[in-house]
Amino acid sequence: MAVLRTGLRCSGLLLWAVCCGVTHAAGPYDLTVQLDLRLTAAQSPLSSFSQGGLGLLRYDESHQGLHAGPLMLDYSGPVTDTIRAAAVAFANFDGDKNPIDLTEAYLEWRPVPTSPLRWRTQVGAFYPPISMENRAAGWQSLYSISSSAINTWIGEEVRAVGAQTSATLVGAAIHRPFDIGVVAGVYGWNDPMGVVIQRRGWAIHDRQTALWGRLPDIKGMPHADGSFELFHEIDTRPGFHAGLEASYRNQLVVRAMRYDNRGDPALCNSQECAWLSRFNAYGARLELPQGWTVISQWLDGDTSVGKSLDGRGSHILGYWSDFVLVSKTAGPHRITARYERFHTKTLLGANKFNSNQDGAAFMLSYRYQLNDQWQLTAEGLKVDSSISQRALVAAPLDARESSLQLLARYSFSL
Amino acid sequence: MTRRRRLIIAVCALLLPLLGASTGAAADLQILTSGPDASPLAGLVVLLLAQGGKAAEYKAPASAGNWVMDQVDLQFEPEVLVVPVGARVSFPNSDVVAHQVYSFSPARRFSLGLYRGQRYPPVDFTKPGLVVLGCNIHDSMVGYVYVSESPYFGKSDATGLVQFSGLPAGSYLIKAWSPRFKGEEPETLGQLSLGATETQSLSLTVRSALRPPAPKLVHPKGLHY
Repeated sequence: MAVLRTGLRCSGLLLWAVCCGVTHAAGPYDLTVQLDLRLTAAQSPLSSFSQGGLGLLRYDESHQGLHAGPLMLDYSGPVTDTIRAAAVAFANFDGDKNPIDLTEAYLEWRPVPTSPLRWRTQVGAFYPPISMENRAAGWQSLYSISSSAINTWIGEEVRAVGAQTSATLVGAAIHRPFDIGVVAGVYGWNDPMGVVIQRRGWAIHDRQTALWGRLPDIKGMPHADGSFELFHEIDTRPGFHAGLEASYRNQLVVRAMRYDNRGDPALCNSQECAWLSRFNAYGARLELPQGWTVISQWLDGDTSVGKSLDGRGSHILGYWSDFVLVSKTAGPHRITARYERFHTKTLLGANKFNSNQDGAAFMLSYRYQLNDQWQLTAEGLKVDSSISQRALVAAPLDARESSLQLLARYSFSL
Repeated sequence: MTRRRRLIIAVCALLLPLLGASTGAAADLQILTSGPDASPLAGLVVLLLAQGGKAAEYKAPASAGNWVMDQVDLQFEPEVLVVPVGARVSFPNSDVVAHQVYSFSPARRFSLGLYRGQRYPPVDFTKPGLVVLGCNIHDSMVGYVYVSESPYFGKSDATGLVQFSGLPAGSYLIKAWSPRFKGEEPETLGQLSLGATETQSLSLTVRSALRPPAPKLVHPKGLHY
């Protein structure tokens, strides 16, 4: 498996290098380089998850002040007329394993449509089409600094390392006001997915786990093993996702997806165990005149680990979350508000590890696009949460956390 | 005045209108268009199909000029471009991101590989009909090139007004099409006879069922996914 991982890592970096070289010669490419400068203030009785705590914010009271980073590189360019290479790399600067690492790297084949049916195939490492808000370069939120709890979790634990195909009936070509599409993917290297939501629960931030990156385990927690690495193949059993998407006049987009990593909860490698993680994800985005956008998502699923007679796992955690986001843009200004709720509950095995979380959060953000290079954002975030396992590290079960972030984002495209 | 001189004057008088027509005497036409709900219809493609007279004798030049369909803020600009048969249309990309323009409409199939700026020579449109444009990168981009079989065509402005000038005398069939129609067949709005130096104003109502107008959506800066 180590050989496989090394091979994967090499192939990813090779993909980046080769594609950059090839596409440079093949035609126009888009390379966005982005550097953040942040001033943060936080109020929380807990230390951040990024420091091995059970706080849900990226920056805790011990890490307030001025931060440089992350640095992001987002590249896409043609390999041929119908094949495009894309890769995203982040240097997170807050405790990741590698100084800079890929979060996505894939080839995408888009044959030129010859009928109203449009086909797209991706091969590599990429996000399944779940998020309705992470639409900016580097799979960042278009609307605020932090993503919702749902999409924060997707950024932390979910990545498809495999292949995905979608077919969309393009309504405009047949004089209909709607598009209808199906998407399906097969992937591996996502077996540990589920461990973070079980150990810590939902969080709200913008830190994406890199393909060879990690998240710290909870310090002081029983059986804590330092860190989680999410993108391992343990059981050689591929997972799948399958979904539907419909849009009406480019104004309303609705999605539904079934995700099942088909992990074998009885198996572990030397570092991580396989988790059987399954969920249904739903989302809708409505674009209205005068720059209004409304987004809502709902995700509901479970994850399990450990040997059991029925193969279902000896520890099962159920979880759900939903949110509503309203955003208004006018010229260079954008104001966004988001309210969300999140919940986890141990359904089996609570006697060994009881992981329950209940919470709600409210976010208000103002974004100002100064020019093509500079973007300024102010974001206030308030999170009320109760997590049962905080008792295991002598932290208060119920906590109110809040943060204010001022972000100056400099980006340029080549 | 001798009989012979009178005959010459009479022949000249008869020929004068034809002479006038060939030296620039022509008709002007204004059509105010409205939808089934009587509200002005903007962006309506209006074609005048010559049925007789001088207009029917018109032959379009082999090269019908250069036309431009731009790409601005992830949209085709204009949404609908009406051109005569034989038109050569440029597809510059004024966005900072690359586009890949294609069409699989029977009237013109083509594909321009991923590009920015003005990478490709103009595309020629030699068959009449509707050509639906898409971008293989940005799904929401939809545009139309309407290739008119007639050299007499126009598009209504925001007030629903479409104007023609210098039309040859004759009779015309008036047809119209809009992206808000539920198909690509144009609707026949009526017939018209134009004298050599006439100025006519018409009000015509489209009877085809229309989709609601596309709202002006703001395409956010920095949109990648």
